[in-house]
Amino acid sequence: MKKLFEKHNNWFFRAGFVITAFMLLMILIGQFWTPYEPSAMDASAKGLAPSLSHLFGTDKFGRDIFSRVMEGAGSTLLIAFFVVLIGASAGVLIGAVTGYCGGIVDEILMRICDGITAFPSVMLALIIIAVLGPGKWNVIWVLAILFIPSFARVVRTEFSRIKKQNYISLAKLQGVGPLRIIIRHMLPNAFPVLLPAISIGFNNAVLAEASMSFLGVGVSVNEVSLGRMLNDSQNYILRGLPWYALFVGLTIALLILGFSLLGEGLQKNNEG
Amino acid sequence: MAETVQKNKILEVRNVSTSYTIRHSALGGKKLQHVLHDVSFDLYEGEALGLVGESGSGKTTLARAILGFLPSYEGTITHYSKRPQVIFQDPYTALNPARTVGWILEEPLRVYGKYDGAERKRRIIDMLEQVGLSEEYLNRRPSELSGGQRQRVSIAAALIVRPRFIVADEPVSALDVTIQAQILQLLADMREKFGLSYLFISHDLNVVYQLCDRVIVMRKGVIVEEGGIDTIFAAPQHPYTRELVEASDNPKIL
Repeated sequence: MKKLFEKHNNWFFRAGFVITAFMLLMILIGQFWTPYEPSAMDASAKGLAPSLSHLFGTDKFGRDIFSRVMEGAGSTLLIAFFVVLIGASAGVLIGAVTGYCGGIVDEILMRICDGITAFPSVMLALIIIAVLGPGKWNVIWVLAILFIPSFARVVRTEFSRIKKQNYISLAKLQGVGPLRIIIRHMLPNAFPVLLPAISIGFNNAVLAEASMSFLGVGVSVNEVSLGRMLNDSQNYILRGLPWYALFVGLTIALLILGFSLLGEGLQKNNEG
Repeated sequence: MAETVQKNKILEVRNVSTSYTIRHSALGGKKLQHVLHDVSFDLYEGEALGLVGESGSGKTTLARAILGFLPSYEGTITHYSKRPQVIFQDPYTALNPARTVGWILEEPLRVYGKYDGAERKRRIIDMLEQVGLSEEYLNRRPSELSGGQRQRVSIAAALIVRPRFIVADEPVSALDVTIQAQILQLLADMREKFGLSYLFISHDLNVVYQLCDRVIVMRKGVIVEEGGIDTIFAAPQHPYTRELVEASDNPKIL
């Protein structure tokens, strides 16, 4: 950890780290404890404005918005995490193989990736969800598949650059097998571009989940997520509950800002 | 060293040619461009053979063919030893920047798989000392080393698998003059210690003179002259060799 800070000695990284750490901490706490039961309705506290007892106010069912944001951000983050995990793993695998092998394998896999990218991603997601039905895991799989090409492309470019380096020729000459060359010799050199790509991917995943749930094709109605809440809140913006949308939107913005700054900070170091 | 002039071949190159087609325009007009043309020579055990020529003469292509990096060529290249190892010109791209010196040196031994951890470590430290570095370099990364130190690590990485034959592709031309002399001395020492054969590629006759017994002069993919180092310097036959000799300062002073 200390090393990471020494290596990325810039304000983007520090600010991003602080914001992200704070958000993660809140989300983590939200998994075990929230000020109120997130789904508990309180008929005596409908549509309250923000106050000390309800930091973000309450919605029209009397549910505490702060508690719901804590829980909702958790499931949004969980979705983003799995989307990036699956997307990045598959992307690294495809990128590494295409970048290392080149030739016909490269052509085929990259043209499939081009095919995926050619579709407007939201539309593709809408179609697939329309077929599979909404739900957390369906959203994760759809987004993960949509995210593969961006990771694959980044890794492929890096791998085809690294492949031409003399130390790779040397490793081949020393009798190191292709799999070991890819994993032990090349992958560590691809990390500097992979790390920012992952943090940006995280961002996009949070946004994608939010927009899909907002459009009503994300998590199912009885699950809580930031996008789901944003969808809910839009009905009340002009009906006396403007802070509902405001606080949910703010949470999304902060979450993304944190990751963006982290990504920026990680990239800054590569450039100089 | 003189008694090792048994003529055991370690490398045999016969009639090697490579070419590529260049297209002059989109509509065709293909032309065959020779990179190597009918190159033949032998390298004997314990010998240091210099391969001299200007850039673009096909030296590096020939080295790549010998190392097995060239996907296709005509002719035959026969090795009479196990895999050759290589020392590259640019020590900045020859070492994996993401790894430590210790890891880089251990990797070929790990892959070889016959030594346990302690034995590998012993060999690494021994080899580091052989090339004039010490144990404290184990945990350094290439970015923390100077050009000369990197080249020493490259040499250690090449020698750690105990090869008989080393291809050195301009191993000193990226270094400044004092470091050049040190690395050349190291290469000479290692040759004596391990009984190595070198194919030493350079554009600089001076450098070749300091290390090699025999020289091949290449120009535009063709061997134009071949002979003992002193013969070549004393009486260059081919006009191109004469040019090279005149262009170099008197090497005998060095």
